[in-house]
Amino acid sequence: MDIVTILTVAVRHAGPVLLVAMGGLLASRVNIFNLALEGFMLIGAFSSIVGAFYTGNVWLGVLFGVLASTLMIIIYAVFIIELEVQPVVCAISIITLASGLTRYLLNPVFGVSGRYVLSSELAMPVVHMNWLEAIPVAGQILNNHSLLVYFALVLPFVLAFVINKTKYGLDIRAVGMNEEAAVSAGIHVRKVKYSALMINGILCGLGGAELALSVYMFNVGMTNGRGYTALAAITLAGCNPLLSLITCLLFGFAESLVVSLSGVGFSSYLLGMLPYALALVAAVAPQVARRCIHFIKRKKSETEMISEYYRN
Amino acid sequence: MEPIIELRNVVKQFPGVLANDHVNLALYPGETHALVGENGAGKSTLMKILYGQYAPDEGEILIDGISCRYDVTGARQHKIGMVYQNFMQIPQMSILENIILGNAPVSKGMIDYASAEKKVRTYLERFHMPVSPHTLIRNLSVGERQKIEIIKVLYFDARILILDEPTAVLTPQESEELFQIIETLKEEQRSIVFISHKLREVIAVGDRITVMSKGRVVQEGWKRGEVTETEIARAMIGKQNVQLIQNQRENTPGKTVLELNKLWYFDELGVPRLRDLSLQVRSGEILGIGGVEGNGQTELIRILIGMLRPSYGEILVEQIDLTKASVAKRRQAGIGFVSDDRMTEGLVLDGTIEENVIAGNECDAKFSDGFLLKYGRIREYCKNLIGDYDIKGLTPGKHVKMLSGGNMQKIILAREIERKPKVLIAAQPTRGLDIGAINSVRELLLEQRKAGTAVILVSADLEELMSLSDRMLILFEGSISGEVTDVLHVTEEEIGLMMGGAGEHAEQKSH
Amino acid sequence: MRNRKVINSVLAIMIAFIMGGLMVLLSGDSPLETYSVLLKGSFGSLNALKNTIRYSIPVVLLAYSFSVCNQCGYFNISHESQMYSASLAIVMVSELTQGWPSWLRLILMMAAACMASIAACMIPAAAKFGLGVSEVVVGVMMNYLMAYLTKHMIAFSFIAQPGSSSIMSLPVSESVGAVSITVSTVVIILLYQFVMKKTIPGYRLSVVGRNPLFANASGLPSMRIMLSSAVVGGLLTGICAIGEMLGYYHIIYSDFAVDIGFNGMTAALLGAQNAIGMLLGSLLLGALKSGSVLLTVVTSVPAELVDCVKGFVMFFATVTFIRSDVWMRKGGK
Repeated sequence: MDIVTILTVAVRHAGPVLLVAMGGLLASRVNIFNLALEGFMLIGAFSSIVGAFYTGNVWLGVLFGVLASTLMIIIYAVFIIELEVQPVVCAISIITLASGLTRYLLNPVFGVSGRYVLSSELAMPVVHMNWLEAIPVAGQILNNHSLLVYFALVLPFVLAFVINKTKYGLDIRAVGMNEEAAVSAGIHVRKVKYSALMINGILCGLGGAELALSVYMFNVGMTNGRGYTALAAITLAGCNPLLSLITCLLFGFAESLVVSLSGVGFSSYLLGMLPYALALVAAVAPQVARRCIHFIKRKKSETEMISEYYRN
Repeated sequence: MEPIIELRNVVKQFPGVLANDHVNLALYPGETHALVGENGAGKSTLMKILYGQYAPDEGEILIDGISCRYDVTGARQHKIGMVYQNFMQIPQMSILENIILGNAPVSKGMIDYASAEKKVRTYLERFHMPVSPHTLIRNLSVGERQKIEIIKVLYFDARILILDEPTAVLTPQESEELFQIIETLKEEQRSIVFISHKLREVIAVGDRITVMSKGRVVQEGWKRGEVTETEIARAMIGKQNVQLIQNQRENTPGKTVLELNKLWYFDELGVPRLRDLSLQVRSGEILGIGGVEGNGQTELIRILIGMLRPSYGEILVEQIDLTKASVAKRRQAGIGFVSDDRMTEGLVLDGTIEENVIAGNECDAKFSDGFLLKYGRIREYCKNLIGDYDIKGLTPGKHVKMLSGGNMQKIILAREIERKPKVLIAAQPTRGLDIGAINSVRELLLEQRKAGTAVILVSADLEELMSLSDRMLILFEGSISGEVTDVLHVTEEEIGLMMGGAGEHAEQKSH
Repeated sequence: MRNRKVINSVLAIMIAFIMGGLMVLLSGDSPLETYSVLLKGSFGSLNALKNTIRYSIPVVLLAYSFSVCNQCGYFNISHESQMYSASLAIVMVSELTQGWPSWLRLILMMAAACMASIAACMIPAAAKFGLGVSEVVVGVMMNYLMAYLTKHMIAFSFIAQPGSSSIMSLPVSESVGAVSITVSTVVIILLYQFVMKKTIPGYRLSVVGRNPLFANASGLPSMRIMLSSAVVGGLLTGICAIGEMLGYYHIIYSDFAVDIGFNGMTAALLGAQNAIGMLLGSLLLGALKSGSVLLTVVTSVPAELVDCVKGFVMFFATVTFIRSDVWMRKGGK
């Protein structure tokens, strides 16, 4: 399999993860570690298939997915903000609930269990741009994706602008860095948190919809850890939107490698570990690096300053 | 003249505490209204109500004669601004962003940084601050941060400024500068609420003085010059007897117990927090350590008890090197510790008194056989402590979080003193206590001094240091900027200079 | 205090079952019938009861494992990876010791299982206590990594069963009886309670857990205590894996631990991390599981309903319905 195809598939894989990651990033920026991205994405994926099935329209399916995932995240927000439930615990129950609900509802809704495939007319359409064909390699890689993938690719730039240049972005940063200071500056912390989480929900819904509708089917557990991968990507990028774009593409590339190399006879299971291993390193490495740098810096200034001091 | 703002019969209740009990307060344009009271008298709660952070349970707030209910945003729209004691600032953000927070000018959907910067620059000039608005807050000194805090409220043109204990972290000289700023603000017809528990400042600054005690206003609106410090003190405490126990300094100290040699400590970013610090403490001596908070006191305490490792230098207790010893080893070697943060470091609030008094000694043969705990014995021991230290109305199984601050502190002192320490480190031991409890703590410390313990008293309260210490050291930026051997004949001004680093030692030692 | 927690858990369970009932209604079945079948399937006969206990045992062990770690502030979310590690260790030892005396093999398998599980439990703990990295992120990644590693091992390594239609490991011939598993679990729980209530390690653990800063300042070896709690947590998961593998499965199947992953946590939260509460919580989850078997046989309601109910139980168990501050305001003054 050639590198262009691998990269094209990488972009396609990165799309949903990017959408979800950007949502998680906003939540992180208001100091909510949203472990439940996986659950919201799963709800989004399932609901978008249900929506597309009943309405016979892909975009209404997407809307359905977004609504369901946003509704779920509002419940989550109420639980952690109003009822002060520990966010991690609430997140895990959301994940369990999302997995249970989608497994169970598959039966009454579609009369099947395990997976349901829609007719291929309900697949997410891809956008073909003639002008891109003129550009070698990059043109090929970036061509023929769904609208949501393009949206995902633009989103980090939009978020970077919003966070750094607008009043809303300043509010978000203030709430995340020091909630008390934000309160005292007259910022409505609650509103900021709810709105950030709502956007998080919308993006998770979009991510789930892209995941499910691009292959016009739902199977149980189809998110397969992508929510966690998204978390790992933003952790690695230190919640910077543009760096997160890069890490998400990197994870997409790893996933694409898995798909293409497993056909050649490598153990797909071992390759399947790759994104998670990367994510694990991503979570731990910055801390290790930070400690090392601090240690070296500290030792250096210690020896320098102390010897300087006693020389005189 | 009409009051600009008036609080009428304001009541605020928290679980178990009546923080404000029918409080009345009026503020007139262009005046400085000083609000005094002990810790826990309800000043901060009242100010948070004024600033819209809490809604009053009862009563009303009149602004320009009209009754209002508002939140923080509303308060800022009414031009009420709050200058916090612990600076509500975001250290990772720039001066500019901190100042415009909540009031950012917007044009075309974006923050108009250019116009904001222009405005901020004029304020920085007015306060004689030659720094760029893009400097990060974390790179500023405490005094500078205080000024930024004031600029923050002037930026939205506040006509009522609430200053909550603004001098707590300032040197006397920095405080003086602040008072001058307050004067200029008054000239602009702004009104200022000045909260403090330092009586001399209150007398100097306040046009009118209101005293609070136990949630109530006990004296409203004394005029400047009509009242003395003693009268205010009496009103604050509500008793005629305001005499605090003093060190009589009758016996002379013995041999050196604790010795620190050339101690250095660098924090994890490589910033030196302690520089070349050497000191000795003798048995039967109280060594007071003063200085503006954040000049190395915390690091010094933590290094002494073993929670931090010094980068350089040595720690000796009776000539035994403890530099690399763990907390447990040091405790065995005779170091006792009364934490300045009694709610977290000093006690397990969720634990019973029994659980708290055996901590660190649980392997002692008195309490266990090395594996099983002897709960019967522990209970007995605990009962004795409660009797010996006169901790009123307690049973050993009671949860510590139900106790008063004074009783909490007594339990900590009892635990530490019963271990018969050679060195007792007491950090802010009377902070937040009422006067009765302050005196019991002072008494216990002086008893320890008499019994031959080397006591290190770290305190931000100058009065306390001067009445208890046999000798004082002042810290400035991690080194000793001055030593006071004759505590009886030193003035607060002299100490103030040392706190600002302008003492003789400081000049000798830097460079 | 205690009453409030009991009422809280009962409320959570009730709401969860009501929500589950609504789900059943949605699919056109009768909730009452469904629940009576569930009840019959879990407590209706001696056999059903046996099954309920059989399914409760792993849950209770994991609940204790979660609780002991959580006391020290370590959110032990990686039970799944610990179960995989322990099971892999068992099958690998079994393959490597073919022909050795049976008792020796059993001991070696158990030791290997415990060690593997402890190692898996220690990785997130070390990341948390040593580096300050969120143990939750590390734990979740570990779960996925171990799931894939297990699949690889049972498909491609020396423990893979050749020629089977779906991937699985070679069988382990040694086994442990249901009675001895039950008895050991009871003994372990009693021992745990005794250590926690009456001994120095128990005292230290509870102090460090409630206030690590205080423990530090008092000279308790907090780091050692925190890591030991993770060791105990891993050990309990290891024992759980031993019971499952040597008692029932004997073969590692793909994804066999997914189902059990968060059960321990759910039971611990439901039982408010109280000894008896966690037992009851585990019993509820065990009953749901054993009842679901009959559900598919007798009714048209899919067994996944149980997953939903479990999700709802967990969801509502997180909420404090009766707030302590409200309580204090009423009772305190």
